[in-house]
Amino acid sequence: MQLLGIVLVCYSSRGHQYVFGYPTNPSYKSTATIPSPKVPPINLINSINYSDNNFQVQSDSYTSTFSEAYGSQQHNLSQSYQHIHSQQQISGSYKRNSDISIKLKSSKEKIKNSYKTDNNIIMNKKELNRELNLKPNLVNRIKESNLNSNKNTSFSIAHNNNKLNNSNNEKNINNDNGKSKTNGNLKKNSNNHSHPQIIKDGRNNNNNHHNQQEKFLGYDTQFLADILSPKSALCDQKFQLTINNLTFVGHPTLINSDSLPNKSNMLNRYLKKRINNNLEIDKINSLNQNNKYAHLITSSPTNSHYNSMDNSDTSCSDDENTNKNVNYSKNDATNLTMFHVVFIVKPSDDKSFDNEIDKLYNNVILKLSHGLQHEQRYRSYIMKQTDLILSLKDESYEDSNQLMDCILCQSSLARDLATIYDALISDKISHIVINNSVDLSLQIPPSIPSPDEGSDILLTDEQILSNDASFPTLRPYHALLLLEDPEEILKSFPKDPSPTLVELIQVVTPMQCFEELQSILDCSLSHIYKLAAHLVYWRKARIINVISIRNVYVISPNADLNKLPDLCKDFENHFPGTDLLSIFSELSIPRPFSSIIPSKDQRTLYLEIVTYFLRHNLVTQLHMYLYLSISQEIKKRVMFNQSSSENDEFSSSDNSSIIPNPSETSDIENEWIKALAATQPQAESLFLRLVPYFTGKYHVEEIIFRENLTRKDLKIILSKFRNELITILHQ
Amino acid sequence: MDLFQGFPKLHAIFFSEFHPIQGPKITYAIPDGFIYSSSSSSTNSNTSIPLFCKENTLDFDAISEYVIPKPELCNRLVIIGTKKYKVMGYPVSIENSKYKRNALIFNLCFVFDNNADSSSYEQVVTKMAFILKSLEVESNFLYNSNTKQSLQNIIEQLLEDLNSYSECQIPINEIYSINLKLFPKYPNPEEVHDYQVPVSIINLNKLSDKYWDLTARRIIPYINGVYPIKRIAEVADVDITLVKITIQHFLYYGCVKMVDIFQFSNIYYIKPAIRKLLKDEEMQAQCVDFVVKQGRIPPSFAKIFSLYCSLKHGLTIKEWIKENNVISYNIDVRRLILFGVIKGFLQRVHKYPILPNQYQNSLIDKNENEQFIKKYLNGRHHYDEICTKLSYSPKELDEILKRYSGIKFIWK
Repeated sequence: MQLLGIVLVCYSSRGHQYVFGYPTNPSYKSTATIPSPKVPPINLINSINYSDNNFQVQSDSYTSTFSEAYGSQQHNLSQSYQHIHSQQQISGSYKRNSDISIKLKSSKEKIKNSYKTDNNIIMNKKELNRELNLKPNLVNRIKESNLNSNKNTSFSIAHNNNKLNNSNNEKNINNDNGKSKTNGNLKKNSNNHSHPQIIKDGRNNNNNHHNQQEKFLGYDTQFLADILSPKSALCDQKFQLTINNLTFVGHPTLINSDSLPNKSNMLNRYLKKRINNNLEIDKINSLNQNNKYAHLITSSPTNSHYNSMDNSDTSCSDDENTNKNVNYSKNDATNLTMFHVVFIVKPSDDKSFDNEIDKLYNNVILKLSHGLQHEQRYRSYIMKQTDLILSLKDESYEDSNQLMDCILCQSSLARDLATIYDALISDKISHIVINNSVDLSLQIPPSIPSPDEGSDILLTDEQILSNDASFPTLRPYHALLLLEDPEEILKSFPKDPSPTLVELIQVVTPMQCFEELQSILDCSLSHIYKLAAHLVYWRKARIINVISIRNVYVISPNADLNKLPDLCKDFENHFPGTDLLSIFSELSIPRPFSSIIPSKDQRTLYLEIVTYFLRHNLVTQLHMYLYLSISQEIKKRVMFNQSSSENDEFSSSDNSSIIPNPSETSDIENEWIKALAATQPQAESLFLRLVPYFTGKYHVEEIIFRENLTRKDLKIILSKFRNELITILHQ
Repeated sequence: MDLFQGFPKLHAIFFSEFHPIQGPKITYAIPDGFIYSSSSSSTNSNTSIPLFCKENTLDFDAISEYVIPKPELCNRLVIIGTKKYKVMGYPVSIENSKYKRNALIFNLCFVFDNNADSSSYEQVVTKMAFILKSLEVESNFLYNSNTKQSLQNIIEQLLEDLNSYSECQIPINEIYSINLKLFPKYPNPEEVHDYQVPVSIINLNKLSDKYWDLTARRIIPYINGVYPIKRIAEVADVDITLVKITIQHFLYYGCVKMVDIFQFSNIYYIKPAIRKLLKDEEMQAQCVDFVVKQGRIPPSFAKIFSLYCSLKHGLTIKEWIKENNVISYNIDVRRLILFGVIKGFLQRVHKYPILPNQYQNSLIDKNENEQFIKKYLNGRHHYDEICTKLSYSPKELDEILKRYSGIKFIWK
């Protein structure tokens, strides 16, 4: 699979738009159709100011749900282990909030819609009145709660408050004939809107010379925008389109995707019921309800960007300007209905292609799309970035490279996409912070071979059972090998890493096994496993067997000898006075590493050298595995004991056999093993204890660990049963 | 090797076209009711009998823009995924003033499971599009409503035959008939090298006939599991690139496997995959059968197994034979090694000579081949490769390299 590029398209009132493509930098053809003078819908709640404080909390908790849902806890660098519990609580509460805010938003939508239809005077007058009867009530509550919260947080913008008050007053006055009031407002809005439109017209006129066809990967970009903007039935799910030899993968995201029709209906019905019932009777109840709503409306996602927009823009501008600004943004934001980040890949021949696509989709595209969706909701990030990029494209540039540089320089979204692309093609991790708020680490997770087995081994039953085949099993006798210097790793961490993780990175050496680490770090083994798995997942570490001079190392079959000249130089810098090639040629014969260490005082140096080799995948450790074979002699002995004849079996000179699975032996095999053990009375019991391990599945270290032996014990067994135990050396 | 897992199940085939008034629509679909169109559901007469529950059907409106696309997308293979299905089609557009909108756009689409490996169908879908296109251009097959009706039956038979027999033959008129066959798609074979030895897995002699490719027929007698590619090219008197291409063809279809040149100086080690041998009794019998010298009493499997296990890094075959007294067991050593390599549990350890930079000018006496050899001494070329390229035996190469002081060997 080869990643060819990343494209961002979106759908707004201006139609399907190709926004940005990386890395090819096509010259821009103005595809933006002049927006038809459209009357922006009035949004009651838009004009309400609410506490930024509230919003902040909301967004944080969202981030945590986000990362929990899509990067499991142990995999996300930004997660600190210590805080998982508290985060879960927060996210739980957020979920509850979001449920209700969905309902609320749909009510808001309903209102919006009703005004839209109102424009055409289709709406039932009675219904409208009902709505309006209810709304001021709501709005007042909101106002109250906001004023309170403003006091608390000392956050207020005079302008907005004025506006809020004005609109509320207006509402109250126009309570009885809402229609005329909305009409007035509509006019006002359309007037406001005319100005930006003129600007846009001017833009297009200025850039007629840019009308040459813009291409991305040989396709006309407008065409790309069309085919990559699927109908809503295909949105909010995996999108995969293959045309000839190119596959487009993405997650088309609808902006208002969570306004479920069912819920809005429910709320609607609920509201109507409220009104039909006597308001007087329900007054106390509804007051409570409304209060609840008021609190929640402040955290209604789609509107927050107006607020932040105001914050940034109003500080030093006069009223008129701000009005324009707000209205302009309102118009575009409500019109951006879909965005789609598409990854274009060239399929490879092999069958695993679909698998790779899935990996790309689940680990990168989905996370990215959700992050962007979140930022769009809260701060209309996509919309702003889209406008920015498109306006940059409208300006004249000498060539497409300069334009690309300019876009990358100014647009953080473009930069993020470029970062992701560059990281993916070089098989690295990309760390981005979307709009300075959503922290994402994206990668296609590596497939990690277990330290004890070659990568090409068939899955053993055990591994299939443990169903997490992509991760090696961790054992207390394993160690963690950091692939970079500890300082480098710590630098790459987000701001608040788990203290245990930091400590682990500072103290860990590949000469310590997890069991020893446990006492040093004073935390549970499972916790250390989690941290280790986390580091492995993010390619900062590998799981190995503890480095020791007793181990047998040979050159790894996967060692890349093409890099040898560079490695030699690098090696000399690390270990002056030693020669990589000499040590390499020493490693051709399997023998304990200690035998190539020239003198005792160089032991530490050589351990560091092995660490270096392992880091660069140059050597691999060989383990001893054991099989049990029963010689003819033993068989004969058993046969005579049983005195059941059939001697013709022994006619051939050689008739030993191998016990393939000593833990599930037949009766006759059991007899053989017993007879064999009896030949060495001193070691009989120990031998019988170890028999189940002689399947070639367990290496010596594992057996020693499992049975709590010493190396000496095992050595005795190996020498006493020299003729019956077949030893085998491999990775 | 990769196992072919059969062809994916074909769920449905539908014929869609651009209707001058109604726009994109489904004209024929088999099975009936599999594909629904929410906008034109009223035109469906059989909506009263739902054959499929809703989640199993395919919404045409969602994908219509990829089935009947804009002109830019026509005449290309287009695959669009939905939640449950994968729709593969090849939209065709024919421009002619006789059509109501001056063009006819149609697409015969095949529907698979979303996660199915449908690569083997790509050719079939493309071919069907070409057939329909030429039928239409030459005999107004789709323009004429009488002949167009027969498409319903054709689709039905296509679905039936491709699913059950993986091939189908449908006569259409006296000139045309549809002949389709599904072929499994294998990954491309790896590059083959001069020094590798092809070993035939099946009897190529029996398989080939006089219609086979000339080069293939010429080199088949020399694929004996002993000759490396370079030698085959020499004895068969065929250009070596042609030999390589032919061998790659054999590799693609799994007729041969590539192994190393067998030499007594070779070193092998055992891979963990040997456990498979211990579990599989059939393979054990096969192994004993394969490695025994002809007409001799076979050794026990346990003996062979322990012999395999004693192969390790740093031990040449020659030393191994001596150490384990292999001669006494009636075993053909070459076949023993071959079996292990082909079954994938034996791995060759290659010897890479490397001359460190500081010794570049250390040659004791000059030799005409010196410049030649030197460029191979960078650690990227192993003995087999150098020996084959320069036509030396490993022993000769050892002698030559002895004259370079400071030379190092890496065993990998």
